[in-house]
Amino acid sequence: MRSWLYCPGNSPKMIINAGIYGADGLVFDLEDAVAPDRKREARILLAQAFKERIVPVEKSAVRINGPETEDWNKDLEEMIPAGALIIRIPKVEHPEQVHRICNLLDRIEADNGMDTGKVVLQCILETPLGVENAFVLGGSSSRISSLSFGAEDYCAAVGIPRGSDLLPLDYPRSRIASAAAAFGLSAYDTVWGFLDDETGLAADALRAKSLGFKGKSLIHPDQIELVNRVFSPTPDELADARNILEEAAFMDGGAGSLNGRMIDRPVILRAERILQSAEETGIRESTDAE
Amino acid sequence: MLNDAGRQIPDAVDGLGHLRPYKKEAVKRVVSGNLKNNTRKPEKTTRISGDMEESITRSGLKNGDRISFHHHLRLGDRVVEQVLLELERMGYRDLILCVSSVMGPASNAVLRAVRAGILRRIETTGLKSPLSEALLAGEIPEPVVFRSHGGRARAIDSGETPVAAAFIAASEVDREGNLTGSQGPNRFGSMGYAMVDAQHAAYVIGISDSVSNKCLNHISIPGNQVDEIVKVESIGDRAGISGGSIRVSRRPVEKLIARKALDVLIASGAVQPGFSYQAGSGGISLLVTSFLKDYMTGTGITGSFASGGATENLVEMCREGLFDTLWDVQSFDDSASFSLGENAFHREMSASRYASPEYPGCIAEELDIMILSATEIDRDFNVNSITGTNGRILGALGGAPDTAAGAGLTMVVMPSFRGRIPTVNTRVRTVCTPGETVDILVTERGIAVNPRREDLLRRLSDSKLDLISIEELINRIYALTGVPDFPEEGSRICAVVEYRNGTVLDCLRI
Repeated sequence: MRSWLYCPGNSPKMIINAGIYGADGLVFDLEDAVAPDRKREARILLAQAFKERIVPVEKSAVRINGPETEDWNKDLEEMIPAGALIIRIPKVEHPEQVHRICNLLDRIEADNGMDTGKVVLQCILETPLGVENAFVLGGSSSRISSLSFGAEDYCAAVGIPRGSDLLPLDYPRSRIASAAAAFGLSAYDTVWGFLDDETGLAADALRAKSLGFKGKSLIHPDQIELVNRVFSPTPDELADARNILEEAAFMDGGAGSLNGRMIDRPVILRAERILQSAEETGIRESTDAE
Repeated sequence: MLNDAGRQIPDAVDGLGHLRPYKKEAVKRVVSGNLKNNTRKPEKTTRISGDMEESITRSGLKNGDRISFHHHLRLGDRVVEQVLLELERMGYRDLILCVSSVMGPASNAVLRAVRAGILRRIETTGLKSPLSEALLAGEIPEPVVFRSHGGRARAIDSGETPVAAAFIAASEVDREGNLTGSQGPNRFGSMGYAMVDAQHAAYVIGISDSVSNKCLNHISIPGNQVDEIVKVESIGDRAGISGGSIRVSRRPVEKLIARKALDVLIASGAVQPGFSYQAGSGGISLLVTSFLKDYMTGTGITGSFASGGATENLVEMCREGLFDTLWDVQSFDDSASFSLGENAFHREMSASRYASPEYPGCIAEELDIMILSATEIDRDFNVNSITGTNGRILGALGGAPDTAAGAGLTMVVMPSFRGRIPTVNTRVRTVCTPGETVDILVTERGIAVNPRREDLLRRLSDSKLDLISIEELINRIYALTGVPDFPEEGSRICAVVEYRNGTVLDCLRI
């Protein structure tokens, strides 16, 4: 999933249109986008949208309220029976928080006749403690499908500006991407909040991709096309991957070479992942590349 | 009787007399030679007056006659109000108002004149609040006649709607009586709609707040068509000119529709060297033009002409060589107003040359691509651009019926619902542009090709576009919105919608 578009959970107009812009995934937000006194009506509205399949359920996540609030369990009680299967948890810092959420999910799934573990979790790490605990959080439950980075709160806590200077975020990004890879999870990057700065968005996304992220969260439909492009294999990458696999077919195990470059198991695996990613996102190798 | 748009049209209606129902076979242009050649006498000299009352008196205007205005000053117009107040002071009654459109302060002024008994009928391409509400409340004595820009030009050219006195606002005039819209402090650009009035009205009164002692650089209406000029303190406010339907959209849904529209244009093969292009003044249409500009710049494809309402973007495209000529019947913003008269590629055209079905080779019929906005469309591709589904008056005919009939590819771009009200319905409230002249509908929830255009369907079927039948599209939309509960229409006809050839497409009933 290259792009996850956020959508306020209390806006019928935006909910109904969220799926038409071409984002790979959607995140319907019950947390920051909804004022405290509007949480209840947002839950009712969003649950109805899931029940009536107005949103594409299979690619729609719900960002619930944080595990230290009074709303997260109400969010789950409403949204899971309505059909939500992907839950994004904000401000995760301790495995105990994940366990608490998993226990409630076990019970809700049982009450609703669902297979245990059907609901998966995306953890957002957006505090220094959450980032430092990335590895233990990644391994804290088999329900976890991805780790995401939340830069805004992280920058505020550490005291660094959020903007075009990308270097300060290399550390948390690398830590999260590495922890995710350790457990075979996807890593998704933080949002870019400067709507009119496409150059900044491209640089931010490319940096995240270079550090191992598979996609990025977005706050506006205008950001989708660029981010999808950045997180898609380039024609050169596709051609290279195909050449590697063609060469590998003639190798009798072990290592070989292609145009002076060593081909071994990790290189072959990476080539397979690139082609698989292209397949998943419907990208075909261009004629030029062939 | 039932016309070919499926609408019940009476044989006659009080105030308008006999009505000719719309027939499909009449859609294609037939040159009838009805153009009336009554260019004014060249030896005439134009008087410059400071007194509106004296000028009106000299015009010979009588009760019951037809007077005309243009709406090039859009929301900045102050001329309509000044003239109607003078007519009220002079005690005129029962006049017919023939106007290219009514909006902004002019709507209030016209409504006041209706209520005072000065006006009994309005002939226009569109009208706005509060006049629109008054129409639906039955306050206008005779049915309003909605005519397209081309239809209005045809009616005036042919003598079908003789104008006794044309009141023509100009941003500057000279001592020869020449009028322009592209000079002076309150410039508004093209005077295309008024050019027809100037050519045919029995008496032409130019109205301006700027009299130049030098000859005008750019003459929109020559002095030999102008009987006299009244100098007033102010014709209006230039800032209001771009305040009508001009809105460049930042809404994600509208951007998505515009991108799909460009994809359709490219896949259809319509964007090819030498193509001609026009887009309406709706937010999505303007975005399509913007995206088209990027595409043309990237591919190096250049077109022959762009036309219609001129905008900054179109001026830029011509300046960059993307189109050879910009045919301008109405300037929508200051950039276009300033460009007219300064750039050789920027050509002013009359409403007749733009869109009259009686004008041989009018620009509308030379178009390859036309992008239209609408309030509603139905499963027969009939387009409504005047009323909403709920019957309220929201828009105008503009040049839509003319350009749709003439263009090689007529595309309607619109969101599939506004608020919670679907805009693609089984039946439109009011037929304004007949479906047989519309080729394709592009919405955010699907693209529907008129089955009549088998060639287009074949060409697009190989693309990745989200093509569905219009019936499927309606079902897709109704699944989200529910089936609308269409309000009942009354029995009293308060307006008729004329097709460009003068036949009646539909009636508004209250």
